Amino acid sequence: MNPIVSGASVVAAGLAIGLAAIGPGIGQGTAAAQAVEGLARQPEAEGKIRGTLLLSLAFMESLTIYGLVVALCLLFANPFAG
Amino acid sequence: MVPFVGTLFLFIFVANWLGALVPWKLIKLPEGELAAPTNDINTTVALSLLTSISYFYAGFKEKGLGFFARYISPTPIFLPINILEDFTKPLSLSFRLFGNILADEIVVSVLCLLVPLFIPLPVMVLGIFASSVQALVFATLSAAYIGESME
Repeated sequence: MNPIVSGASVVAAGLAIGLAAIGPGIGQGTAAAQAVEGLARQPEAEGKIRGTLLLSLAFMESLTIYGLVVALCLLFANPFAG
Repeated sequence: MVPFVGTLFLFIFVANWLGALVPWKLIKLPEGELAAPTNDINTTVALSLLTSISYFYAGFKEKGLGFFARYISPTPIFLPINILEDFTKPLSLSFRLFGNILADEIVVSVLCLLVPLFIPLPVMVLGIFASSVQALVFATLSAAYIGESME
């Protein structure tokens, strides 16, 4: 493979997953904080709060996964190779 | 609608857990290797296309040709966004499931390559938990899309 293309792909893969982890990280932290506050305010709602929190975390996680898929595609199924 | 969503959840849940728990390395294939079926983009895209087809079908059955009115709601300016949403819904469903399962498998295999016996265990536990949550999310989102197209 052309060395410029492989070098650029590696850098792009690293940047993709690195930058993709920032936003959802902040978002999940905020969601967990609000969930803990709601739990402290009303401990008997624990079941509902836990279920809603896990579901919301999975949605935010998927945004990071999109970046990971791009990184994996660049490393293992590169469309510009050869 | 309910049997479809239940089947989706059970299929994805059992597929992910079998891929993570059973020692597939013991069966030698002449080429390739055995792992969870959902670690291939083709499986997950097939499942999400099934969901897409079923919410079109549900919308048509409920409303006939009035189904196309949903492209112009709430205002006609939303038309390109609604059309785009028809493509991004199956895309996001499939990528979410595929990325989670494949990422866990890659991390476990790289860790097993480096430090074999005890270090991969926390990652495997996280993988088991996350894969079951992903099965639930896939089924819940499918039910939500089908329900949304029926009202």
